[in-house]
Amino acid sequence: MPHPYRACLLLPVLWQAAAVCADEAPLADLTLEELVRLDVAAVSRKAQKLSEMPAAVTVLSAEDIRRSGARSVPEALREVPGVNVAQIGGGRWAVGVRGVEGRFSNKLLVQIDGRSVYSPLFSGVFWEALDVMLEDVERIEVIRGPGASLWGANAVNGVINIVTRKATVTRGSLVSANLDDQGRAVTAVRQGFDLEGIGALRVYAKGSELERSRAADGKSDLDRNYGWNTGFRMDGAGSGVDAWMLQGSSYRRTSVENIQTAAAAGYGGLLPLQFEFEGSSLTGRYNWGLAGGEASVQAYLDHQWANVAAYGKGTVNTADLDFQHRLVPSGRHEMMWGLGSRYTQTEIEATTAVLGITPPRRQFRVMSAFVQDEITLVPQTWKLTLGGRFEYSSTSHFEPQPTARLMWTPTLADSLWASWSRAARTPSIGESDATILFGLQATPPGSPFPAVAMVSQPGAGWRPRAERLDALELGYRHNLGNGSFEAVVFHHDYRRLISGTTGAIGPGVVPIPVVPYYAPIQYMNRGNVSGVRSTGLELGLDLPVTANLRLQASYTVMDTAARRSTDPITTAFGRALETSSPHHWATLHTLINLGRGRELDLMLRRMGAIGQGDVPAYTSVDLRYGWRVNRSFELAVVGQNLFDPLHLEYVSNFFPGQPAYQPRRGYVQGVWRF
Amino acid sequence: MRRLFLIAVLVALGLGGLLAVASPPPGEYQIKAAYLLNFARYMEWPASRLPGGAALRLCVLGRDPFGGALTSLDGRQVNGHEVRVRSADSLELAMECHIVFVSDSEERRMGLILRGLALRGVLTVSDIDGFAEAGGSIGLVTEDERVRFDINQASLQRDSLRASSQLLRLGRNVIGTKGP
Repeated sequence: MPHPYRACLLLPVLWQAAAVCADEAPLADLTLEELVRLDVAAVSRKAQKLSEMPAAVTVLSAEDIRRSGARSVPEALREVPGVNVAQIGGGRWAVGVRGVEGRFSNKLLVQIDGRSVYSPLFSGVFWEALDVMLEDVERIEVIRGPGASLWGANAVNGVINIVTRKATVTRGSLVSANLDDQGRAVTAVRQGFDLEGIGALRVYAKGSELERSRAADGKSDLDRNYGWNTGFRMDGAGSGVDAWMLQGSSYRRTSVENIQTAAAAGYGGLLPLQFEFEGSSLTGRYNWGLAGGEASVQAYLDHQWANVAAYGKGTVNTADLDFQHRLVPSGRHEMMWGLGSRYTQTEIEATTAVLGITPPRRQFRVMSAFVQDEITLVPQTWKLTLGGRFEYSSTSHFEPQPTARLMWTPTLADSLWASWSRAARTPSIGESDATILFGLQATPPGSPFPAVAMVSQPGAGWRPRAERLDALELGYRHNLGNGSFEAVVFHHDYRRLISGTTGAIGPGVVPIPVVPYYAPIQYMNRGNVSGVRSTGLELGLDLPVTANLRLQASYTVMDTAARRSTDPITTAFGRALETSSPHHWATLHTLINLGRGRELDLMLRRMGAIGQGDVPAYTSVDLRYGWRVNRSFELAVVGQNLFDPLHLEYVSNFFPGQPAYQPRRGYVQGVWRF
Repeated sequence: MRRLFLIAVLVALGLGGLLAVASPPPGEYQIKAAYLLNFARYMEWPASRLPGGAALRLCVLGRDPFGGALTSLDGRQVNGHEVRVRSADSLELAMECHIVFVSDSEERRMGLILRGLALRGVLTVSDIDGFAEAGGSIGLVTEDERVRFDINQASLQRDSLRASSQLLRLGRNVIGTKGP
């Protein structure tokens, strides 16, 4: 049978031709059998699901993650505008949203299926301990800017939500094997089960040893990262309106890096430092109808253990309970509210001169409430969102976190939004209680001591307060149906940032192995003393050029300025924040479908220089060739950093780690689904 | 730095202008509109819900992604019913419809919508990921560059809707069936 509509579908780029077809709607006469066999000219991306939100949101779909060739969550985030991803070493990453960051981007909240993986110990995420099975990730949502009204304190600069697939859609088996050019393997296995009448279950396990980084000479390896994780997820059958989910996970990971101690009078050098991480968690969630609306309750238990060589070890146990209720829309209002409660207990053994934390045992309680109202001012055109989160914590003051967002949608494809929000970040245990040796600083010649030890401690009588951010954002989004363009301008004003001021010299000394065998201590007293402002622009483009060629590009430019201080240590801290991320960076991803299941991806990335650690600018080129051999087997060959033998991406600002260079890499991956 | 910023803003405005001229290729949603008409053909409503000769209301809830492909179906005849296409501005209005296409702009409210439309004899269709799994009647999925559909038989039975055997046979997945 001849198909008159074919011509229309084969000309997706000739918009006018396609529009003519739309008027005629010849497809409507097709039967179901014909429809299911019909090829789609251009498939729209299901990524802009949150595009109706007046916020800077990017959603990475499973397909985006697969095509990026990423083997870890940070790698997958590299192409999101406003997100700066830099590899510190094997498995170690600095992931920051809108700057003001470091190895522990303490203003970024990361969640896996609603469970926070943000560590209260150092206010950040131990990316080196987080090995997610990407094959079963459904999407990653990245919300830039304060998301506090919905996600809570610490969602200051942004939120990263990792959402895994429901067990009801992973009923089969999956084996994924990955081998890199250094001969290290990553293997993941998943098995799904149908629980007759109840729902579905999947169990999975993943083991990996990650590629090592190189020293500046390009030859010797300097770090290691290996471990395993395993878990399960169970979901209720999706026939009814109520839904439930239960999942658990366990992991163990070891990460080894070198600490570089300052060479003073022949003393110094590299010191291997081994981190060990273990943890388990159990999360349950239930959704049901309540008063015409929809409610959900989620609870989780989380246990983490970490050991840092001989310097310290600690456990963190968390119990969290959350309730949310979306009310049935009434008139112009669409309300949502929720309550949350979290209990955290920490026990840390660290009493050396390098790291000391007192008191060793602590407990925190956080109670929170949020409310949000989406008000339709003019149907389909103007929408105002007002929200606020109120948090009471046993460690800091009452912190109201309000937000106001206005969205204007003049046409079906364009939306313009503006927002003001205030967010707060609770101080970590490390910040409120730790005494940390930052390093030895060489003294000028002629001094009686070859070096002074720089030690950070809580300032006398300091009552830690939450850091505060006021953020203004202006965004524009153009929906291409098949693609999108987005531009966001932001201005962030941070106050009460925790940093140091110059303290006393002594008491106490730190032993060193050269004459006179000790170094005096220069204390740095921590307090809420710094202020920083950052302004920037984020651009994102997803452009379908033809049915088989798509371009995705991002560009971010940002400027950070710290408030001046008369104190040299506060000034140095401000300078470190100003220079902790590049001024601008850009990515370009070309996706080509070669037909018959073959695909080619070319990824270009240009990162500006980072002042802190003297990291030069670099350009990297990655290439991916994927082949879906048949319905159950898929093969990919990936080459990373192809035209640059070695580059440095970041120097850890937390420990004085040895700079780790990233060499040219390659890997082969096979995924079987059956 | 300031100059770079300015250049970036200009580039952004330029790109925005360029994109405003180009409109999206509609292929996928033309096919989805054709599916909706076919679902009307192969689905049976209780006579109390859709009396013989009455108009069959086909509604879009949320932002209309069809770009005219659906409104062109307005006035067609299906099994002796005239199809009336309209957009439902609220959940209350959607309850009056026989087929409701839930636009992906409504993903955040999906649970709320499904609860509101349950037990009202409404066939819910959407291309939101996991729609049929979450309790919707029919979920449209794009797979291997073809549009397929999943049917949630349990929700159809709950709403006293009857899908023809042909519809069930062509579905990619049929959820909630316990034997024949």
